[in-house]
Amino acid sequence: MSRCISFLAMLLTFTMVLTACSSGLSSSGTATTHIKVWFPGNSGPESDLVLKTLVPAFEKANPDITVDVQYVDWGSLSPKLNTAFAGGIAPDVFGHGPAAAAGFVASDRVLPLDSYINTLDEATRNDFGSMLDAGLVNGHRYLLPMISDGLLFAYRTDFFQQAGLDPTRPPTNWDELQSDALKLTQRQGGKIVRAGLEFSNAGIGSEQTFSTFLYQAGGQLLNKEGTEIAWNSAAGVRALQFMVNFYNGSDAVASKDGGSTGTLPITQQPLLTGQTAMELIDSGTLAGIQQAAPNVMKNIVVMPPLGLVQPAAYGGAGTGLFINKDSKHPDAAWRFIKYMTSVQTLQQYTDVTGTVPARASFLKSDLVQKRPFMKNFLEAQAANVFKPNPNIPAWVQVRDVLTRYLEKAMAQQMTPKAALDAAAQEAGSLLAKK
Amino acid sequence: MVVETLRSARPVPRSSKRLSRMQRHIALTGMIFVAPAVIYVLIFNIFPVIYAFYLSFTNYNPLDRQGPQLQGLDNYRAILASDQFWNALRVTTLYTIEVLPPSIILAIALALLANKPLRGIGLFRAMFYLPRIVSLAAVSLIWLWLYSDHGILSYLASFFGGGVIGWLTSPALALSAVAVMRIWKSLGGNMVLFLAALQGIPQDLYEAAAIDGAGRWAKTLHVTLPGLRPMIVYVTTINIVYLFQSFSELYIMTQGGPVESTTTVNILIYNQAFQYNQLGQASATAFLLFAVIFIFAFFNIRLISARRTAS
Repeated sequence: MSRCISFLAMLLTFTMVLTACSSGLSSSGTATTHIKVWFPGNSGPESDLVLKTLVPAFEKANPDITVDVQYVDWGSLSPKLNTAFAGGIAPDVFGHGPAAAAGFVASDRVLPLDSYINTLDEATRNDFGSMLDAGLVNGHRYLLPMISDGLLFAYRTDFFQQAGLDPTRPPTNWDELQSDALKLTQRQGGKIVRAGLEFSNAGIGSEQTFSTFLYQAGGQLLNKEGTEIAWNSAAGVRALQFMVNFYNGSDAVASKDGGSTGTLPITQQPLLTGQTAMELIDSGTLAGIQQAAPNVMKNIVVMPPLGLVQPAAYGGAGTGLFINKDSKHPDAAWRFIKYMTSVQTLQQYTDVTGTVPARASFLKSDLVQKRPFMKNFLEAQAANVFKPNPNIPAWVQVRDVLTRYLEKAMAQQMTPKAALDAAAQEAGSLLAKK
Repeated sequence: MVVETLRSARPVPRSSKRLSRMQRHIALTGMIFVAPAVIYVLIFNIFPVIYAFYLSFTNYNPLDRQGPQLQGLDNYRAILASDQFWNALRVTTLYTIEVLPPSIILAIALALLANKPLRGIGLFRAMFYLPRIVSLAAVSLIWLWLYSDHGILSYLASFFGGGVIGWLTSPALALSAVAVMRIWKSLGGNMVLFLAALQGIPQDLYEAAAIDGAGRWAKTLHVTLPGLRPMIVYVTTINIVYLFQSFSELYIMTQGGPVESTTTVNILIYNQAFQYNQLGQASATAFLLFAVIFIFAFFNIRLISARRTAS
């Protein structure tokens, strides 16, 4: 018994010594603040850059702060964050899309960043421009975006030439898009072997495609207050009918069997494989194509945004950084966010990730020379062409309802009008509940 | 073993007061040995089930600081009134029907083949068992590629003059395409179980049947199949339980699409819990699924057992 007590006493002493050694003191003797950060994604090059270069550089410049960064796969991010919030162990800073802001705000989980953002100088705030409004809920800003994203049409110049079209004159409106797509379509024995145009027509991608055409037709998904469904307007029906026509009927320019481009890996992207001449595509996919097949990328050009009523496309701020409302170190968290969204950091970050930085000044940077396709994305961003999804707590559920009915319309199980009305009715009750 | 020896030596007294010191020591030792397993089961199996049942009557959202709030039967009413739940249940049942009979019949046929004393039969058994030891997620990714536009199935279709077939993108084909993968995946495991059962059938019965003039078909019908019946009950029941809980392969290969044609109840539960943060509703859906599985499994056992009694 006495041996057991002696052992426990030794263990306790050892633990206390260890605890004393690991207290918040840096090697120089100053108090250190430890912050925990979760980044979404699973890209090796990105996590290498963040963990081995960016974070050490931040810690060197801020010796009073240590940062523990973890990468969490996008698919697991929300479940893990929810569990961490419920268990009181959520990170001080986490990356997420702006669409998540309203849900976190409704649950009182994120800190408003207005007081911090107001400390940024005017030039920096102007550089972010409308991107600062991403994550704007009830008049408060809750996120600072790192990157932006959107959907623009890209096309193969070699296929334009083969079809007798001028590769320097891409379509500028819906009629030209439809007629050029028809000319670019190649058929063999009644089957389409090369699509004139493809876009994401299933899952979340179908909602993003629909939003693009809807905004171009002058429509909106919800009313300005976010309290009522507005997608079943005349503009909405026109946009969905336009989408349906590309994949159905005698003038179809793409095969429904080809699947949705949004979920395909880079090497199977139809614009790269030559299975389509035009594609509604995001900048990340184009960056992937450039890396995987630079020879093909030479023949790919991004069009300026199209418009029926106005030039518009789905998009806006991409991943941004939030601060946990329960964080004990919000000031240190903000310093880290400020560092991660600085021009120098974003230059390195977007160079590796191939994403579009959320700051307009990059339009004049080396990035555009290195990746010419970025120019149109940055210009569209600066001109406020990209329209984000509504920022309401029920958005994910509302989006899934809309997606379900868009798929039914694309599969011709319902007419566009009936699908949009049914989606409006079902989603309307979700908005009313919230 | 020690306990058994003691028991056989003298009857165990009913009252703990009458336990000898040695017996108490043995009982305590036994309880200590069993305790980790009991504690594990209580914490990780029993408690979550009870807690999930409680949550099914609440509006629990893990992000909500207020915690779960009781709301009676609202979740159950909402689910039973939802078209999505009934569609998911229909898809789940259809998937089970598409997978279960072929995977049982083919597994019995393979087990009969694997039971022959042929050269290289070990390799044959190992080959068919191989998919069983690969994770369902890995297998799903491989089949995702096989079914893609650039996969071997599309290549073969093009080679024989057909165009690209939307195996996983056509609402009419997607569920069956995943079912084919699942049948292939489950064959090996089921085959081994049937093989074990086949090898447990006494040889005397075949000899007696042969003396009675039974041919190969009659022996299969009147000796082999009745001998396999307990294993058929077991394999069918276990497969029903697993198939009604199908998630990974469908989530990886189709994410429930296209047009909800592969949205099973478990995918619905996943969306409710992790996309919409409605853990209360997800728990209620899970208990409804449990009830359905229980009914199917119960009637399966009763049906096959009744036939056995009748025979």
